[in-house]
Amino acid sequence: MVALAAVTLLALAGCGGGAGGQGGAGGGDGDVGREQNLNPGSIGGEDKPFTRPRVPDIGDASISLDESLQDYNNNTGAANSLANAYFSPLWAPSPYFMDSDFSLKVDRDYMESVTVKSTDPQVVEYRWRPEAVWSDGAPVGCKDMYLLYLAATSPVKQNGAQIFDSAPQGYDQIGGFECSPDGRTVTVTFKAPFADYRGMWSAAWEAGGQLLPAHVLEQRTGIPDITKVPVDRDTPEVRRAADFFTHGWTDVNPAVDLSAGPYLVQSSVRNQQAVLVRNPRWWANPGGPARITARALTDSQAMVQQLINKEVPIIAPQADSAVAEQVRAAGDFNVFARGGQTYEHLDFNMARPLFAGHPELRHAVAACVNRQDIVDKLVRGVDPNAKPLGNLLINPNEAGYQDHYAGVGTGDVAAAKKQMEDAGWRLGPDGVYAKGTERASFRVGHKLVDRRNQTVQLMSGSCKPAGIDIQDAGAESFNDQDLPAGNFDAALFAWVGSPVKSISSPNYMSRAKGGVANYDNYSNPAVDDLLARSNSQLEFTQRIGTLNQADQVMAGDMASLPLFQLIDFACADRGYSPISFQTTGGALWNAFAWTKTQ
Amino acid sequence: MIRYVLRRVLIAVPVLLCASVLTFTLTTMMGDPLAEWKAQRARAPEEVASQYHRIGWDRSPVERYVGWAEGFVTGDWGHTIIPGDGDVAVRPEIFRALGVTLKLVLVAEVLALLIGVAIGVVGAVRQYSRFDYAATGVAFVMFSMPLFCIAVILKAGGITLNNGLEDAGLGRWIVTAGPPPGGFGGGGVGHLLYQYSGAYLLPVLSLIAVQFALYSRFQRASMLDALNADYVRTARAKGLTPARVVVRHALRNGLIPVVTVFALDLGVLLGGAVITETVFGWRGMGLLIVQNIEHKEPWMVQGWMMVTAVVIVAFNLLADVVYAYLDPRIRLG
Amino acid sequence: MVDLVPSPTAEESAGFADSAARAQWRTVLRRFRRHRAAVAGMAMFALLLLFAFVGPLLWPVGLLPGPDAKAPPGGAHPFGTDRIGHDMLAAVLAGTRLSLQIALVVAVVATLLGVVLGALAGYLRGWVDATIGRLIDLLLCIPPLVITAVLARRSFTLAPTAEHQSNWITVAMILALFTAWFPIARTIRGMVLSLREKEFVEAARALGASTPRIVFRHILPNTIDVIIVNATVTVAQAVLLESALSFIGLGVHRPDVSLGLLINENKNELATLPWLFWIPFVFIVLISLSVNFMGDGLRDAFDPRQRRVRA
Repeated sequence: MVALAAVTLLALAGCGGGAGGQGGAGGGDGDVGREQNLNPGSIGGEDKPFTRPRVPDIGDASISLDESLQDYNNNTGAANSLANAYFSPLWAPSPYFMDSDFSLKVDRDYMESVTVKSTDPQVVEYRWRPEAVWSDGAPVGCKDMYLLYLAATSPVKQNGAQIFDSAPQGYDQIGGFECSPDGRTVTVTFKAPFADYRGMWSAAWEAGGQLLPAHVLEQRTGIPDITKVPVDRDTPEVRRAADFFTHGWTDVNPAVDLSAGPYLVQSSVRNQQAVLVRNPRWWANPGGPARITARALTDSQAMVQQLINKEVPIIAPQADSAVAEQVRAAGDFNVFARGGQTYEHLDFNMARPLFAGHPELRHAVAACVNRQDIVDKLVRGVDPNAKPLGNLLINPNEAGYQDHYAGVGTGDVAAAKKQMEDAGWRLGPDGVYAKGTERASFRVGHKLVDRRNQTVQLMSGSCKPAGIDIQDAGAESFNDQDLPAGNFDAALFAWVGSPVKSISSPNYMSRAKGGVANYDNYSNPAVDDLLARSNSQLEFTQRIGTLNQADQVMAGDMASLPLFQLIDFACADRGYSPISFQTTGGALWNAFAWTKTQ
Repeated sequence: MIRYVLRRVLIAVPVLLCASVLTFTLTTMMGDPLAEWKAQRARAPEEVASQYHRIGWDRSPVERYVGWAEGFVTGDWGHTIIPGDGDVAVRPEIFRALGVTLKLVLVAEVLALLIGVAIGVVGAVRQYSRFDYAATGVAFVMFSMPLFCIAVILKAGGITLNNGLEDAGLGRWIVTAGPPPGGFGGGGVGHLLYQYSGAYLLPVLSLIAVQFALYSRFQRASMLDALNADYVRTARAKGLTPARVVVRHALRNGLIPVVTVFALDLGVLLGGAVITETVFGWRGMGLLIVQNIEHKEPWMVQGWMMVTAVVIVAFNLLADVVYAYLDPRIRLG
Repeated sequence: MVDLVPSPTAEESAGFADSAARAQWRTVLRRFRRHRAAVAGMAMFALLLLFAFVGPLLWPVGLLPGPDAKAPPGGAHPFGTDRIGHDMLAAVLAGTRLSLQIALVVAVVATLLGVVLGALAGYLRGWVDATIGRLIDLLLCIPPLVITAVLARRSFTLAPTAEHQSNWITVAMILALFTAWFPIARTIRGMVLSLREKEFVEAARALGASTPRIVFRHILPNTIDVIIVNATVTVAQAVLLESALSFIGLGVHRPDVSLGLLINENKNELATLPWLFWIPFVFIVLISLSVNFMGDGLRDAFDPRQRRVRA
């Protein structure tokens, strides 16, 4: 159920990206800091509210991004891209909003309330505000939510493919879906307890969570009422709806691409430039910029020069030490840099005898790699607060983070050698450990990215004295081909985490239990059970406890060594604030809250 | 003359035909356009099959080629086909990019030609003078430099200059990346000129830097040949003024090779000043091809290579015709 | 390229007396020596070769990063170190060596190919000439950078999975086969076309010499000047093309190190750790400049008509 999201991640793995936010950048709240409330809304409780702040009009604002808008509907597998997710939160309604502390808050600009009515079975009631309308005046609510439910779960196939080209994530847990006559109240009953219900119909769940104006689909397809189209059967209406869903909302077409948010797209040149203007029908506090021009520029150095040369006031390039230093040195600019949701890690291929049969080798590598040194040299130039990562499931910025890798990956050559010798490995004449026919020598596959080349060189340099030979096997197509096929000894790549915790499960569960993205073939029944349990635990503290338990077990098995968080990065002219970056929405995530001082 | 041109055009046709096969082979060799899409997640075999059917990859390469060629001739050059790339029509996209590149390259090439010819002529007339040595030295340094370094250095220089201008209260003139987001306009002719020059200055300079060096060397060499030729000696012997000899006799003939090289280069550069466009963020032909090769978008790459081939062949033709026009002896041969 | 110069005795029946040939070479050498820039270029090129191929023996610092990061040039690191502690002298030594290696391979392969195809076209004429001519026209239609980029994309996808391979030889071959040989072939063809009508060739033919013998023993030695000059220029172009390819990320990649790759990796450091950009840049310019000056000197030495304006 998570596959689609899981893979978006992979697509991103080369590039950085991630999440972040500078002190309640969007919301009414102040700086929440790095710790969030451990109990943001356990089942039956109240979630924290979010409302867009009242800010002065700042006129035109322009920004350079690595990619620009491509398609209006980001829910289909064919269209789904990070670039679309930069923009859609500015116009797509959503019951929950992901704030700068990576917590999901009820978006009070859209919702009167989201209430869990019962826990067994789990029943959630969504009450939309009566003011919430699309830019043509039609109400937001029942129909729009139903359309995503239909798209995600319809069993109808065409040429063998799911006809809506959408992943079922979460919506397949729905047992009942009821609307009030005015369409403003929606009551959803779940088949089994589902902990990540907050991610549904929400931008936080990147692929498949963007609400669309279902009434436009009705008008264009002649379907009188989309909510009468069955989710479990094949009818001509389903096919017509799917056809419009997958083709009607591609690229940008203002006639069908409505907004129910603070901004709407005025014009877009696919992946080059998009111009957003205030939505005249927006009912809550209007956004600061009257017009936002976003331009794509692929080269991060070119972006920095644009900023320093004052051609654009805000940029969101890929994080790079040289880039960050230049901006800091130039004086008049603010740099936002914070560890984000994306994390780099080294996976050992457990399908290969060298690693499967020799846990001591995995632990020895984990010992001789110097994670602090890697962070110092590759990450601290961007974010001076960066630290080695100590958890694969919970982000250091999130509540409940525990470091399970303290003392691991400290470049401890003696410890590494001891592990090897205790297990019967002997140093060969070439200075590399050997045991029987096997040598402690392996290749690290990765996509050709400077940072990854350097990581491998640093690992190789610090493990050489420990008698472990690490070779660089970078290839341009590694992430597309070798990684999913399991063609590697060890792999260096990144995953994207999320407050929607079940997103990570397919990366670490056994293949047989749904670990579709478990490329290193790690398998531990204890981890499978813990992860499955965590996904049905509605009580937040309990859930975090289970996740920590799972991570502890994984740290003991050492199939995957976490290295560091990639840095969320944005720079801006000092006059603009608050400028930050997070996975969903990129640097535009809080564009409505931008202010400008002279 | 018309017969000559016709003959050349007829030779160009089979070359372009072969070029279409060659480019198609190259495009096919880029690999499976769906490789990345397939790697994104586990997909049902039927779904994969339907995608291959959608993009037409269930047909043999020969059928695809024929289909493409028919489309190309009738003006339908195909669309982008990779999931996530949308459904962008190839022809308008290429012509848009060609327009961007054309403006950039034309300005740069014409300026480079003028500067190069002037330097070359003076260098030849005053061979082994200090000027000649200096010009030779500069030319050699210029075409010994990687273009991207020139571009990177120019950019850093542009920003420094801007800082200086701003301190002097003159505003920031030079733009480092692409045409301004809002487009040109919003002011009088003076303002427009200011905007255009600011946006074009750096990329144009970076193109000129290499090209003028090339032209000056060609011009110098051909000028020396011309100055040594019998007809120039005759003209001198007749007692014509040196200026008249240089301009009317030597220059006219000395220009022939340079003009030919100019036409050839223009054709090649229209195929994208890849480096210049990358560094300065101009979305012309160069950036278009680099990005589409990265995505392995077959019809875009194919269409691009064909357009470039046509442009290059056309400019080669033009070069030959100009040559034949300026030097009537060619037509006899 | 020096290998390409056959000993003058190869011309015994080529219409030159032995001593005359030797005298001609002496003249060329004398003229070359008078061209100060060319001599300087040659000296510089020799130093660069020495630097690249002997230097690593004297500077045995490895390519793996060490403990000193961001050290400016001087002291223990004459060329400084980069952000993660690579010694730049070691990197530049390796980069210069590989860039020269690529350039020399390109020059040799392209010259051989160009000379053979050009000679065949010029000597045999007819359909051979037409085919080779059209082939060149065809390859000229597509910008070399794009051909190379497409093929490089291919070679990455072809790369045996997780089996890293050094790719510099691929890059060199692509450059040689798709860009560098046409100008040489065209020039040689032109010269052979006129040489084949000369008396000494007819004499050899009348004596019953085989075609290869006529082409290789009698005709080509007379084009040696053009071959040398072109090969020289090819070296300079190959260095620049390789660096351009590396700049757009399609050239040599790690663990191979070329000057172009070093510049690409450090292009963002111009404002922060400037030596990382300038040092490899200076080396590229030095290689290219020294070779270009050498080529210019050779051209002048072989072709005295350009020496001075007569009359």
